[in-house]
Formats: sequence, C-alpha cells, structure tokens
Amino acid sequence: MSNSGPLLFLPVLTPLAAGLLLPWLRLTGAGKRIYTAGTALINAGLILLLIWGRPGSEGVLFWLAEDLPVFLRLDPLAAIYLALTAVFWVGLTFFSHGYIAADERETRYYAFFLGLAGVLAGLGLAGNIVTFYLFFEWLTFMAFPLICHNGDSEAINGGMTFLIYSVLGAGMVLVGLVLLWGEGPIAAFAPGGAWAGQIPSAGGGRTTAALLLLLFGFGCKAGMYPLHAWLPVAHPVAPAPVSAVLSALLTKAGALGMIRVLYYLAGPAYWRAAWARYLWLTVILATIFLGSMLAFREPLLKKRLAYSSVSQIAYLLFGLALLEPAGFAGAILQLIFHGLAKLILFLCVGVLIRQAGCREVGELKGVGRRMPAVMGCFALAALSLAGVPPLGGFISKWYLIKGALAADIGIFSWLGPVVLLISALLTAGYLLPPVISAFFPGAGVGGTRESFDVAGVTGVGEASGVAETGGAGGDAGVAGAGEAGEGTAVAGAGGQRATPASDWRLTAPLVVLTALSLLLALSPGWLLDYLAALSAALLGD
Amino acid sequence: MIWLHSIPLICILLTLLTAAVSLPGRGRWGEGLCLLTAGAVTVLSAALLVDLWRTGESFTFAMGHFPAPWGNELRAGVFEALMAAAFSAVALCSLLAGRERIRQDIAPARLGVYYAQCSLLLCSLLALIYTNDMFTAYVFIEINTLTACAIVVAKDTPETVLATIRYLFMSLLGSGLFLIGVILLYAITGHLLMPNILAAMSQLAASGEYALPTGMIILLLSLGLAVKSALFPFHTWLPSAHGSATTASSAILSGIVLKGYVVLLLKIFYRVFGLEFVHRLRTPDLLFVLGLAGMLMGSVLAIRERDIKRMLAYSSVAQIGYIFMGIGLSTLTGTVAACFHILTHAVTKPLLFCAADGLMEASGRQRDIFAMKGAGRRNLLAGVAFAVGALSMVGIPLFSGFVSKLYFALGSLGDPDKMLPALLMLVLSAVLNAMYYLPVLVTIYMGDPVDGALRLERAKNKGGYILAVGALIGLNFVLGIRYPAVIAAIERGLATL
Repeated sequence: MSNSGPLLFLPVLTPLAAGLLLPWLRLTGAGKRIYTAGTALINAGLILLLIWGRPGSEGVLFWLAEDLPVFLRLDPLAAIYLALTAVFWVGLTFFSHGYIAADERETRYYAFFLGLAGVLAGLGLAGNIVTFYLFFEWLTFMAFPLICHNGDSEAINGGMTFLIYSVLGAGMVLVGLVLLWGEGPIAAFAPGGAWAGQIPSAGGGRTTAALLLLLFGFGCKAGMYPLHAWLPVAHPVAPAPVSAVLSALLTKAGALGMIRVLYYLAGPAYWRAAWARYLWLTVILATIFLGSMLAFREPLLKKRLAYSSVSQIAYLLFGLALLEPAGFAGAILQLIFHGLAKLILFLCVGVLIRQAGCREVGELKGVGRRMPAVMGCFALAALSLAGVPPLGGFISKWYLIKGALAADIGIFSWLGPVVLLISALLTAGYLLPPVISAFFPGAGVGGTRESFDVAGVTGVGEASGVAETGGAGGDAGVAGAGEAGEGTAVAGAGGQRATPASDWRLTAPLVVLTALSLLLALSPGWLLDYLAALSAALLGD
Repeated sequence: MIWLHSIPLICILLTLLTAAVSLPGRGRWGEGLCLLTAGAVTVLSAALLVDLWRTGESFTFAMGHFPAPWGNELRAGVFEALMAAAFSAVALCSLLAGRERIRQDIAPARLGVYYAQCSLLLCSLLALIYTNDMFTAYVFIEINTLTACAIVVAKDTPETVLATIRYLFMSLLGSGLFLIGVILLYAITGHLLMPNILAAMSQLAASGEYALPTGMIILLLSLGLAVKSALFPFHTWLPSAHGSATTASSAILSGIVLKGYVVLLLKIFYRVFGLEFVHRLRTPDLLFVLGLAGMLMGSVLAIRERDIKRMLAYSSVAQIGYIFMGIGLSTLTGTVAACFHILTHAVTKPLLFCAADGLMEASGRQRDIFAMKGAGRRNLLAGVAFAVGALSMVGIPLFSGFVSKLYFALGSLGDPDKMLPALLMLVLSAVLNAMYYLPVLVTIYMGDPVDGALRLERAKNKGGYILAVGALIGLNFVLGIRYPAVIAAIERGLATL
C-alpha cells in the first residue's frame, strides 16, 4: 500500500483540529470570522491542490486490527465529493458570518461547523467500508449541535428526531457490516467491486441481507423512504447554512455510502443478479413521487425544500440503481447540481427569513421587487431543479432518463422515466409559483408585511391553479407550529442589531455560488468526460 | 518470578488488614489508608497481569501449602489478573472522585466504618475473582453482600435505609440459591475445589448419570448470581440502591460489584462444569433470553426516569443485559465481548455517576434532569465526562462502548438461531440508549438555567475529582482505541481458564 499519507490527512485533520482549538482561543467576533474564513480557504486550497497534484494517493490513519486499516484514498469519486465540500464550505462560511448572531452560542456553532467539514472530507476519502462507517457515525454527532443551534424546544425536537433516525441508520449499517465481516475479510474499495469473484453468486441470503441493510442504513441519511421523516423536521429548525449543509452534503454522504457499497464493494455484476435490486428500485421510485407530492402540499418554505430534497436525492439513487454508465453519470451530476441548487435555495430562504420575515410560500408575494438579487438566485436554482434547459438539473435528468431507457430492468425502464416526468412537473409546480408571485405579485400589493399575510394563500392560488390553494390552505395550521424555531431567532437577532435592507455579507456568497453553478452548467464538457471515464472504470464497458 | 505468585494472597490480606485497621479510626486516617491500599492493589495486580501475559502461564496457590481436599486454593491467570487490576483501579478512581461527597454525606463518626467496608468490599471482590474453591466463593459472596449493603446505608437517609432493606432481601435470596447449589454439588461430587469437581463432572457428563440434578445445580448457581448482578427480571432492587447511595458507593456498586458475580459465573462455567457441558444443558439459552429482555426493559425504564441517578441505575440493568446476552450466545467471541463489556461498563458507569455528581452540584444538589439546564457549562469537566460516558454507552466509534457493540455483533454470527434477535436488539438498544442519554446532554449544554442565580456560577473541582475523572476518561479512550491488546488478553485469559 503506497503511503503518501500525511498530506492526505490534512483535509480531515485541519478543520477538526481548528474546531477543537477554537473554544480555547477566546477570539473576538472579528477574530472568529477571520479564523473560520482562513481555515475554510486554506482547506479548500489544499483540497484542490491535492486533487490536482496527488490523485490516487492514499494513507493509513491507524490500524483497527492486524488486517483492517482505517485509511484514506483520493480516488476520482472522492475527488468529486471533496471538491464539492471545499467549494461549498467557503461559501457557507462567509454566509454564516453574516447570518449567525454574535452571542455566546457563536463559538459552539463554528467549532462544530469546522468539525463537520473535517468529517465530511473523511467520508469522501474513506478507503474502505469500515473507515466510511467510522466517519458516518461521527457525522451525526457533529451535525446534531448545529441543528439544535437555536436551543429552543422546537430545535431540540428536530435535532433529536435527526439523531434517532441517524442512530437507527448507523445501527443498520453496523449490522450489515458485521454480517459481511462474517463472510470474509473486509476489502478496500475497488472500482467495479472489491469482491470480484470472491463472494458466491447472488443466492447467498446473508450477503443480500447485509447489502440491503447497508443500503437502507445509508438511505436513512439520504432521506430514502420509509426513513425520510427526519428531513422535514430537522431542516426547518436548523439555521439556514446548516439546512443547506444537510441537503447539499450530509444527505449526499448517505448516497456516497451507497455508491461505495454498490460500485466499489459488491460490484455492479453482483447487484445486477440480486433480487433485492428490484425491491430497492421500487422504494426509490416511491420516494421520488412521495417527496414531490409532499413538497407540493407544503406551505412552509423550508419544509417544502426539505421534501423536495427527499425526492431529488431519490433521483440520484435511481441513477445508481440503473447500473448503466449514463445512469451513473446522471447520478453524479445530480449529486453536484442538486447540491448546488439546494444550497442556493436554502441560503436564499435564510436571507428571506432574516430580512423580509418570509417563512411561508404565500408571504413571498412581491419580494422579488425588493430583493431582486436574492430572488434571482432563487429563481435560477428553482429552474435548475425543475430541469429547465440549459441549467444543471436538465443535464442530470437527461442522463438519468437516457440511462433508464438503456438499462435492462424490465418494466422499470419505462416506469422510471414516467415517474421522473411526473415528479418534474410537480417540482415545477412547487418551486415556480413562488418565484412568479415574488416577481409579479399582481395589482394592489403593497410592500408591507400585513398585506402579504392577507393576500398570501389566495395570491399563490391565482398563479398556480386550484390544487396549490387547497394544499396550502389545508396545511397552514400544521406549519404554524414547525416554523417557530427560526422565527424566534429572527426576532432575537433583529432586536440586537438593525439589519440593513440588503446585507452584502449574505447576498455576496449567494451570487458567487449561483454564478459558479451557472458556469458549471453552461460548460459541462470536461465534467462529462471525467464522469464518462469514471463510469467506464466502474461498469467496465 | 515466584514471589509474584503471592500477589493474589497479598492483595486479599492487604485489603482485609486495611479494613481492620481503619475500622476504629476516624475520618481522614481511614480515607487515606483505603485509597493507598486500593492504589497498591492496582499496582500489584497490574504487575501480576504483565508477568502472566509475558509468561503466558497460570498458577494455583495453595494457602498454607495444605493439599486438597483440606487446603484452600487461589488461582490466577491472565483473566483473573486483568479483572483484578481493572476492578481495583475503578474502585480507586471512584473513591477518589467521590471523596468530597463522602465527607458531606456520611457522619464523621462513621467515616472510618465506611472506608473499612469499602476495603472489605474490595477484598471480597478480589477473593471472588481469584478463588479456586466453591465454598470460599460462597463465603465471600456473603461478605460482598453485607459490605455492599453497608456502603449504601452509610448515607443514613430514610431512602437509603429502605433501599438497603430491599437490596438485602434480594441479595440473600441470591446467595441462598447459590448455597443450595453448592451443597448439591458437594453431595453429588464430594468436592469443593473447582478442578476436582470438573474431573467428577466430566465423568458424569460422559456417563449421563445425575443429569437432572446437575442441570438444577447449574440453574441454581446461575440464577443466584444473576439475582445478585441484577439481571432482568431480578433487577428491582437496583435502582433504589444505586440511585440513593453516595456517589462513590453508586459508582463502585454499578461499576464493579455487579460484575464480580459475572466473573465468578464465568469461572464456574469454565472451571467447574466445563463449557461443553454447560452448553449441552442449555443454561446459556435462558441467560440469553433474560439478557435480551434486560437490554430492552432497562432502557425503556431509563427513558421514563427523570432522576439522573436512577436513570443511570436503570441503564446498568440494560448493560448487565448486554453482558448476559454475550455469555448466552455461547460462542467464544460472544464471551469475549461480554468480558470486554464488563471492562467497558466498569470504566464508563462510574464515570457517569461521578459526572452526574458534578452536574448535580452545579445545579443546587437537584437530581431532576430538568433542573440541570446549562450545568455542563458551569462545570466543564463534569460536562465533558458525561458526554464521554454517554457517547460510549450509545456506542460511538473511538469510545469503548463501540468496541463492545462490535464484538457482540460479531459474536452473534456464530449461532444462526440467536443471530437475528441479538442483532435486532443491538440496533434497537443503541437507539434507546441514545433516547435517554442524549436529551441529558442537550439539557446540560443547551438549556438556560431556570434559576437566574445559577447562571454565572462556575464550579471549582477538587484535585482528586479532576484526577479520577480524567483517569476514567482516559481509560475509556484506551479501551476504545487500543482495544486489540485488551481483546487479546481476554482471549488468552479465557483460553487458559
């Protein structure tokens, strides 16, 4: 095992150490901002340099047993996830500077925020399933204090829900792992499957059970039905940058785990022959539809986005389940572009909550005129998610459908595209009407809060048809309880310092991230080539 | 080195002597002496462990050099030395961390008696670990019972008196069952020394004679010890006894006293009946089922509890369930996991009790969890200690609890019938553990104190508390990260048992 270790440990250990050190430094407010921004920038630079200069390097962190190393390896998939984390983290750090109130909880926030960056890098780099599992467990406990940041009972409730689902998921992963362990030594991840011929054919009930446990355990983090219920509870109560991390990176960590299990451990050939494949496909399609449907009915903005994540991440899983080069490329593209879009959407909602007091869809009426930059970013991200060409979401969905039609999965190869299309319509139905009403509120809408509240429900109805009105009206009462967490934080922060109408510290990272995603979507050639090479290595044709 | 072979006897006599000397003394004298003895015993046991590990041998030590059947033997191998070293270290840490609280909880005139009982308790635990003789085991079980009750009742509140009476009744029931078992054993085999009984047992096993009586004996001995180590459904005495005693007593009782009986049970399985015979009689199956039930019920009861010390006590019921589940798996890995969990729980639960003490102190001596809002920010060390203990009990990697969980799961693979229930319960139990440990963490870190006066208070910890709690945290990480060596020691110990 060639060891170019220490450099590769840095993306994991630098943020972790910085997070551990932060509480002891007793920095001032500005000091903390410089410290976190510096760490994020240095870390991002380091990661990009490593990807550029040392692809394929690996290093052993420590040995769990004589034949079981905990080790990191920078393979092409790790490079994608790591690059994503690095870029997102810079944006999120700068956004947090403007968003997180300067009180005694600030230090705790940044300490865990830095720690989370390290753990996510570790997940990306993990070189075998045991290493992945170790970081996967720690992910939960780094994210938990961030979700609970507001400290009120709503936030703690949301955090506990996340935690219990996560512990359950991690427990399933552990059991799956132990079952695999019983079959033979744990091999390092290898493109195309580490097992290649070692494990007998798909008939082995215990192996299939282990794989299903791993998939559903990771699916718990990825919001896969029936273990998706933590997303709509945890997203609304977390601070906006944390909601963004949850949707853009943390749920993707679950998906990453599935990629590692299917394509790097069991191998596509094994999974292709397993009956469990169809069970998994069914669950994925159900998740796609369910997520979109629930998002469509949900009036609370952050909750609507959370349900949308449930559905959109299932797109990604659908791509994985196809075991086709095009489907795999579509899945990775979805990982990247959904990550970008959801990051932008959650940050936009954060700004809207902070500066316009909008938490519900109906309250967005006319906001676009007062905050054109923010709503502009929102609109672009929404269009991307709905799959409007030439934005990123379109590219990924194109590849997904192409993969589905090419895959040899019987009825699913046309059922999949149908569900994707229905879901795309629903996505357009739940994301575009708010955008339209924000920019074109119609006659007689002033700029005050009161008029938003009165006009809210019916206003959206005009734009999107009858179904929206019914859904929004019916759920308004339920949503009222869920929004309290973020609401109190706004009130508290608003009382301490007057926020200007448009805070550049919040808007600037947003605009930069949106510009980045546009750039990537409009010149995807090199990315597509990279993914073609990767999927050829994994699927062997 | 041959003098090392006297260490078991030296340790037992040393603790006995300490008890005798500190009894008439008052306060500080007994305290210092007891801590010193516990420290000395720890060092001696560790030396013995290192020596036995290096040479790989085990030995029996005939007291007074009288041969059997008149003599009385001690027996030490890697297993015994490891347990003795761990138990005495935990006793030392518990007493050191709880020293201040003992001075407050117990009348000065009784301090000498309290420390005498603690020494005697350690003495009886060492004897249970090292003994090679069933009757000696019985005698020290009784001593253990009485001293354990004594260190509970020493606090002398109505609550502790009631708890002690309940504890005493259940304990005596347990030792009664054990005594009947020993008598029947003697009646059938005519021996009390373990190797002699084993020889007789293998003859019985081969000939098939006395099948029912031997089955009954194993059942009686197992159940007797199970009652005393609070295996569900015999746990009813535990929450009030552990919840109401002074911190050091709670820590010692849950950390090591419960486990002493499990160690003895393992020795009986290996050295009195022979493992094969035990498995054939299906006693482990019963222990497995009760262990699973304990894992579930202990956690469920803990979730309902708002008193932090009683919550920790119910958690012990669940953890004892893990240990018996591991023994009940009747695979080698399962037993190794059970032994490892004995160590895990021995370093974790005392840590949690000591941390809870610090948190209670920072919240106006209230035991209600909801009164502890923000306590982790007022007493930093106690907060960190509780976090480490809680994460370990939930089974997060890098903490010792994770290694236990992993090995229990690996152990369950050996038996296809028990695999599914064991794995299911491990996952469920982790979720349940998270459900009662993590809300406490949230409360002590995130909540704002109800009483405004508490807001600015910062607790000052005494040196002994810092040292002991630090050591327990360190031990937790050692078990969690450097576990291959410990597992290897347990494996070698069980192989030579």
